[in-house]
Amino acid sequence: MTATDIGWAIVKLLIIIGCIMAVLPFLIWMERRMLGFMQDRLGPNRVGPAGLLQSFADGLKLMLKEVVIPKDADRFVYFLAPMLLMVPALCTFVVIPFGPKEQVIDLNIGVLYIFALASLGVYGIVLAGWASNSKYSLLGGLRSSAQMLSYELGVGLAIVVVVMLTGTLSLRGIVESQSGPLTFWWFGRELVIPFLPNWLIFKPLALPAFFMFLVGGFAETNRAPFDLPEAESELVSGYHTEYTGMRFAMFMLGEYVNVVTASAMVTTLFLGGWNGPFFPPLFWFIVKLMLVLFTFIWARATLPRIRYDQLMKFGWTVLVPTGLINIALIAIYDAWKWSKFAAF
Amino acid sequence: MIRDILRSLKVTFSHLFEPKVTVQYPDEPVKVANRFRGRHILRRWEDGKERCIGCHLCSAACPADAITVIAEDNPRDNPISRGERYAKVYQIDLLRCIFCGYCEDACPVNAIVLGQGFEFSGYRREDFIVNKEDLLEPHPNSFIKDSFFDSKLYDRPYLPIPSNVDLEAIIEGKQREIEETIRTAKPPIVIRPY
Repeated sequence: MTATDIGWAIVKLLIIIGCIMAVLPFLIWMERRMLGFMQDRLGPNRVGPAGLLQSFADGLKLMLKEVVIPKDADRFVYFLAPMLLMVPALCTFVVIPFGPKEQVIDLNIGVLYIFALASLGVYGIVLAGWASNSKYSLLGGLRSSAQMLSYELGVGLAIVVVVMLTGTLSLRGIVESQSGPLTFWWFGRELVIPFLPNWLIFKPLALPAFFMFLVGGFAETNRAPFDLPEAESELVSGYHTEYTGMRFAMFMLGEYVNVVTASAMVTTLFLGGWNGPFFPPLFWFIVKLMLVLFTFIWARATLPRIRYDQLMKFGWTVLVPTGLINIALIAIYDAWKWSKFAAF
Repeated sequence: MIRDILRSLKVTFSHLFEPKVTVQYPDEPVKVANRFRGRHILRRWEDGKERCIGCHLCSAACPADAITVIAEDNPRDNPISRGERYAKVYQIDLLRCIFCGYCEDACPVNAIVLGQGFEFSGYRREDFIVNKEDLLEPHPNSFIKDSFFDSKLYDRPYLPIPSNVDLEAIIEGKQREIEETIRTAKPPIVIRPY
């Protein structure tokens, strides 16, 4: 890699991070408006046109807040935790392919990289819960780690399905393999369905993995109906109960960055990434990203929080077996495809 | 379970496009119920004369002692009300008022009523002492037309002094004529004992 490449990578990185950070306030605004509309309310509409600047007003308020630290808090870890949540969340954007050129760097293990960083984010939550020295925070942190353990596996299996179907770990490779019309292998020949794109969501074998990944995405980003770590009705505010001002805002932003990452992953892995007719690739990526983000908001407005034991049970007895069965089916299909079962 | 989730998703999605219940209060007026009773109004007759005849019954009925009335004899050439007297001072201390509506009940000419207004705010306590000028309904010929003073809302049975009974007749005690007018007047009149 030459110095020019590195320079370009840094410029792209700055632009992408800048865009993400600039869009986040509007994402928060959109979520609040959508939630309001779904509950027959209007949502924030006073600050700026249609309330667009609400998040900036909130941010300003948070900046002016007094920083209150609990008396027996572990100060170092207490200050470290929000950064531990925020920084890995932002790091994931390095490999996400917004378009054929709009990707900072294409790692050949991109999926693994994102997966690793997503699990790193939970340290922020657990440590915040531990360092706050408050029972609510601690419970929130513990729940978060248990939730992460039980859902990481399901999400991992869903990713294995994608990797088996596309044959690559690089995110760009996964998107590129989803271009063109929908293609199946059927009795030794290629079956082409002309009016459907070759996205994984249209392939019956990837459908269980898609739903697993979506549900796992809800769980990993700690959002309703899996927002147990910050369950307002039981744990005040969960792991960030004792945080004020900008540190609280960092948790908040980290959560939303995670939501964007999860949506981008769903788009890339299952919805064909930047592939689409007529319009430029970036347009298609953003449209699909918005659709997935809407699904996140929609689920939050609809589904009540499930109980802790239900969540664990669902993770271990539904998601993991489904993933294993899905992988087995694809293995059989592949074996058939490569004529190991010539007798058929 | 999957079907339930899909059904509930449908419900929330359909609510995206439904009319919202939020009332943006200072920008949009709030509709109060017809029977809502708030700030007082002193009414006028259709010809613009004040209804209040300065009888003090409202201030006597007021359990919170919020009403002060000082009556004076009507000027003969240009009567302000239809009675013998009129209220020279009519003052209500809104901070004392408990909105019980006894003044409304007590009033023989249905002059004081509790209106639909509810926007009470002020910077000083004195702002809540309202005088006759603040309470009076606008003159029918006035260019001020305010739905706030929608008189029809406040009509209720009372002992009226119909406009075709002249003051002289009342003063001279032509009781039979008055009774005749009252009997034939429309709508039917409920004479309440007081």
